Amino acid sequence: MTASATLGRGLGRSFALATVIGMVVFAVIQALVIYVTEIGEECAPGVVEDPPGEIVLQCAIALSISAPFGALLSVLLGRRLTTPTTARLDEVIQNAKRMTGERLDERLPVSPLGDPLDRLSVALNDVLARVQRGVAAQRQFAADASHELRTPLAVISANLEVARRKPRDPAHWEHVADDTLAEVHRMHVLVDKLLQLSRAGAAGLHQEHTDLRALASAAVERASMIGQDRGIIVELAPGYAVFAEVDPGAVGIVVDNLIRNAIDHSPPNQVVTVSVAPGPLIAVEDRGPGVPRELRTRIFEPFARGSATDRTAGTGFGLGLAICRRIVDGHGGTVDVEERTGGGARFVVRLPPPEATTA
Amino acid sequence: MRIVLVEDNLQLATTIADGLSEDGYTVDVVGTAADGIDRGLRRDLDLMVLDLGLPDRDGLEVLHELRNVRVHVPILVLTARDAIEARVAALDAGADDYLVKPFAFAELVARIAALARRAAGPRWAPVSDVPLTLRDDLMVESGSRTAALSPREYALLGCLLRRRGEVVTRAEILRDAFGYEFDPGTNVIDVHLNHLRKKLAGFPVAIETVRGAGIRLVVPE
Repeated sequence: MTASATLGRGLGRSFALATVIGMVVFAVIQALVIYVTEIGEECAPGVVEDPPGEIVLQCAIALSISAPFGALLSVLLGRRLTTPTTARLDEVIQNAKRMTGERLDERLPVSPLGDPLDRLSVALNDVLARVQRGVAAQRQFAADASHELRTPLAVISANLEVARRKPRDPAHWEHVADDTLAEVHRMHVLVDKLLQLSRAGAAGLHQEHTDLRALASAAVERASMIGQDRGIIVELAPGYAVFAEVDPGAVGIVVDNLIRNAIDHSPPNQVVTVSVAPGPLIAVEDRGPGVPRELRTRIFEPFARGSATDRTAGTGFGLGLAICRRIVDGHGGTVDVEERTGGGARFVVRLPPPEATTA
Repeated sequence: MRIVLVEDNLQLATTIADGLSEDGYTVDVVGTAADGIDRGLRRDLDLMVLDLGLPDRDGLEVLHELRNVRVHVPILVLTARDAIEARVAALDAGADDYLVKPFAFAELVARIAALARRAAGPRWAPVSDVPLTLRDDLMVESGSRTAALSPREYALLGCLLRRRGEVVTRAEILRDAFGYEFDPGTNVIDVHLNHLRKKLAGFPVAIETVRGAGIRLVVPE
């Protein structure tokens, strides 16, 4: 806003300067014309005094000679002074026209002047850089998603094709069917997760006044069966109700995913602790190996896996934490991983306080 | 023929191994890049099928490591990475072939067979790195020296150049250079060979006769 005002003032100054110069030229020519006629009269003897009408006539003559010059001059000067600005505007427009979804690496020209137009270009370039990063992330996501879907597809098609090469007994076919179904199930889970991730943005959230502690308690209940076979206990730390304006379904998914993640990384017979505190804040702690510092941002990216060994062991696709981050982002909150005091990982979801969300 | 399959998806590895075994290949499955490199270095394999997305290291590193120490085993990359850049990177790193998942099993089998055939068959060495140029006007040229050849001599020299250093049998020369499917029982090879030897006198190549085996072209390094 200030930039455009300054730009307007700049243009205004250019025009005013041009007009003033034009007027000065006009005045000078007029004075010149009057002076020349005066001289002429002085040389002509017998004429004593100018009659009043003659001054008006002189003015008229001077005006008719100087006015076109002055006007022309101020137009030319005005154009001359504003040309650099309009030329640069044209350049910006041309550059902007060249940009497409495919060619986002173009940037608007920035001159060393650092004037308002440059500030505009810099601001637009920032936007472009952000859009470019977003598009790149989307593209990477699509590539990763198709990569993940290809593997179960490869298993299914290889399975069926190999089985069909020779006559097989029913028991063999049953085995092939089981393997195929397992892969189909895997694909099903993956497609569900991808959908969850794409729906997790702010647009799909329906926020309402929610008791986070009750929500966490329900999630703990849901998770209690998962870790049972490995003797992992999921507990909710004692505390009071904490209210926030959130989408209960979406935040439920966040807590589910964090608990699931904690269970997957817990050694057998350990405790996963969920706690809710004013802030509002939800924390999920495990007593596993923790997350190395250099991986603490990366694990929230789609298809990133905590460590390579989990990949062969677990069924995870590396989408759970990415889904968490998108949902929490959509609420205007943050999700981070820290080191738990006493070892293990502590995932913390910080949501904006209720008054901040209503304001 | 022994194939080492480097694939971390156990289900897929088992299926491929089963299918290839039915075709008479011996298949060893390993699940990590480290094991893949290990098996490659032991040189007790005829072909490698390599996944790129491995749990410990990228499959490209397997290619680099093996090619760096001159393990020339044919390697077929089998991966879900379908981008052109990924294919180019793998081929540049020393892969002999590249197949994208999901794939048709019949195609995998055919590509493995093609790689095996190429590895076992007669060489087809490029002639660009010998100090001799075969021009298409039937002239042979080396530095400032040139000689005009007859079409038969030209074909014979071309055949020997492609397989330089190897002994080529009379039957192969008759078939590949002269187009005879059977031995006409004449001394046709010797006649052309004599002419060729005379014309190549002073050229930096020599045609040797290996008694009882055939002839070979020797190019001094």
